[in-house]
Amino acid sequence: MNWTFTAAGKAAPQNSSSHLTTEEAFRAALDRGFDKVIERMGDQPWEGEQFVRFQKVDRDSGKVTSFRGLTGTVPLSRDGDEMQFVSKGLGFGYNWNTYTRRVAAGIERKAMEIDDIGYTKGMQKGLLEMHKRSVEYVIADYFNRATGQSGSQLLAADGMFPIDNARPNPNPDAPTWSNLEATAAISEDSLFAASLNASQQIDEDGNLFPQTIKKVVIRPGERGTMWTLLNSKGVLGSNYNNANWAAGFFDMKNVIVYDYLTTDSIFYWLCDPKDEDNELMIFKRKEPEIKTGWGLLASNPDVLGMRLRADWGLNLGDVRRSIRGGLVTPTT
Amino acid sequence: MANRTDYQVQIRVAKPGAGDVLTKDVYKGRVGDDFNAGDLLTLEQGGFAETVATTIDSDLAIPIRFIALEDFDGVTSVNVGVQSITADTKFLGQVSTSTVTVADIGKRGTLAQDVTTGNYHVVITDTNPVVEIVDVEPNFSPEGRYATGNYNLVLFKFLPAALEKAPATSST
Repeated sequence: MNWTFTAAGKAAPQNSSSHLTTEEAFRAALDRGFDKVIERMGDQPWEGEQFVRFQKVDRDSGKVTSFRGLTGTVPLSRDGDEMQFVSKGLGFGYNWNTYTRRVAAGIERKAMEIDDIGYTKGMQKGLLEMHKRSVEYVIADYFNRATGQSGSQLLAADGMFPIDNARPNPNPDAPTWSNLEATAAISEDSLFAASLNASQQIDEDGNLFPQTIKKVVIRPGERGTMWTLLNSKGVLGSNYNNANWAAGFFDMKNVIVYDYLTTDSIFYWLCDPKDEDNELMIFKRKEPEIKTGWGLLASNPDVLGMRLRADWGLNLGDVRRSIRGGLVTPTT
Repeated sequence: MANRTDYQVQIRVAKPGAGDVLTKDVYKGRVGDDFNAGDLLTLEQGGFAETVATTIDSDLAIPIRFIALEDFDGVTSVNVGVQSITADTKFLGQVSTSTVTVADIGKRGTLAQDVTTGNYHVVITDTNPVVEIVDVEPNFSPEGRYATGNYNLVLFKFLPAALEKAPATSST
């Protein structure tokens, strides 16, 4: 009897070499267990959908245009003078697309007949989980590359990365603006800077357009730093008795820890992500649909085919009223 | 998210192509020639399904015929489950470099079997190629489930010449 083991990682059992769930694969699963074989598929949290809005569409692509309101201020003008007219201008538009995604599973009839451990069961649920995982990772990719450090999955309507500086305005009279925060560790100063910058935003015509930060999204590694910052009465690391501004201004309940955020970054939501100010949207042309049937695939009556099909796409319009952010210097 | 390391994933059939999708219980393994599910096999002249080589390139004198569906211990000659490979069959596998881009579509290469894991991977080269890359991970799975820049899965198929050679002669 061995009481002292040394850890040695096992080589991963490989997937079935076939595209079908075969009876050989089932027997291999039997070898790895005995009376009871565990399917190790845990529930995982799906977090990305809280940041996007959903839109049902019939077409698979389209263009969204926008227009601006009346700009400027009312000029001085005496009654007898000639009237000065104003008119609305166009805003930036963007194109949206949806994409078809499909995947299939096939099970040999004999594998199902002899399966008494559930190896061939639950495939439809698994396919749906694959769909949800796709949505999750697509949204995560958007946030992980939002500052364009290795390109970005989407560009905003103004042609810039979702989080960027020197953003153009559709009114040629307006200066550029930025929703990119300076790279820094999360601190009272960095939160104040973000709050100040939000309040200094301009609109499409260059007028002051003050925004307030409603929610903060951080990566899991910053959870402790943020909690300490928001729950300390005094300024962290200071000998003086100055009060901690961040603790009074932000609340941990408005901080979202986004487990799929792997880039060292932080995002400040200026609106409720489900509000129409948020133009990060998933256009759904077809909800995930599963067709199942003997002979559905491979034209073989003894192969149970299942296929999942969905058609959707993540798209982005304007970011001015919804999000700011930047990279952070990680503290953990 | 950690990177996918080299040789981590064994090749597998992802798109079977036209024709018979599975063959099995027709071919016996040869005593002394053990193999695992996922190994590439030829049809030896004596009627046995047999392993080919750890490096698969166009110098190989025998045709690639099957991929093993189950392990075979080589102790007694028993029927083994195999899947036929056609010129249409698309495999999912890793390339030996850490990243692939859409520019790699259409490139050719050889297959090499890693001695530690036993997994085949594609080596992109124009020297003695046997496979052709038909699609790459940034195309069919662009969401980047692994760390950025770690796309190294490809769909590939065998060049017809690798499947159409004269059958192997018996080595027993």
